[in-house]
Amino acid sequence: MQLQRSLPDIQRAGLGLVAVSYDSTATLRAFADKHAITFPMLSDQGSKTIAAWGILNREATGRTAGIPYPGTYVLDSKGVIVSRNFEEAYQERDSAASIVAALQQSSASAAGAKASGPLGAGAELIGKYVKLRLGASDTVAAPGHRITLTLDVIPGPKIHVYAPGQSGYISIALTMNDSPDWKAVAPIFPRATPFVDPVGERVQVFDKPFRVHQSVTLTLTPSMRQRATAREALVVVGSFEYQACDDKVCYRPETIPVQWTLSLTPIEP
Amino acid sequence: MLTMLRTLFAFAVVSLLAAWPHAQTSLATLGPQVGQRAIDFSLADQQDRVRTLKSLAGPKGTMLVFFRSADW
Repeated sequence: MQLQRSLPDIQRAGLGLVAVSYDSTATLRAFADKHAITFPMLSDQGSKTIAAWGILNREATGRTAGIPYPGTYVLDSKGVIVSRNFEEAYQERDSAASIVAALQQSSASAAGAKASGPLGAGAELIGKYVKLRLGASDTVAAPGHRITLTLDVIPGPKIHVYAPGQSGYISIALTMNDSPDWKAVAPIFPRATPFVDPVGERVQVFDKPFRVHQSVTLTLTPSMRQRATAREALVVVGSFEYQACDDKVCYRPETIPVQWTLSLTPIEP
Repeated sequence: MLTMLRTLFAFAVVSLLAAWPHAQTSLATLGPQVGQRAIDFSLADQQDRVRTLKSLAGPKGTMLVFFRSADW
């Protein structure tokens, strides 16, 4: 069960985890026993709390009457909401671990901190002038889940690479392959360091390890559902391009194929 | 004949769109927003103990997940 699997990440972030549904405590107990749940699942039978929070799905009728619009809130220690993620398309949702990753990412960039957080033991790739370390918010994911893939880029000694949006240099780029199995949005790069190049141009570079975040949504196709039932592996593929320069010269751009291996799991409530 | 079919098709599409739940458009304004204080509540957990949201916070806060059902 995805929330139970993500519990270590959630606790490491200092957050308590609470789930709420309109089920009776008996239903929740059966579910919790079946999935070895160790966090509180609260019974909002009659959906009074769901309605009080303004998230009751009033279009759901019959057997499904009383369900909420499914979503996840993160509150700070004072009970103030710091993030909210709702299911924009049926059964497509941000994984809990990717929500934690997003929180840490935004607090890290606010503090100006470097790449941090474990985010899954990752494969390491060695390029000509950089080392790459791959990680993911979730290594087990269901179709419909939106997860965060991470790419840690470690420039070699004296090497810097160029932040996106610069002319005159080949900027770093992470491009995910087109696939029926996933949908990718633009990757997120951290803040770069200002640098004056040998011809006096002001540019934005990365000369220390940094982390790129790439959100991907696993699609809800029949093929994906079948493979999820069979708990097959899914390899998510992309490529990382960069141009390295040191204090004297610039080198030819390099493109490194990158891939993340996930285990598929069936969709859950 | 073709005009009639086209009109029928257009009518069918418009009817379907009208019947489709409008959830997509209002999700952004649904429920409390970032920066607002969460409403506390007390509900029974899977072991029939009454818990308050406030008491379930960790040192840095709480992740609160609303889901459809444990019974589907």
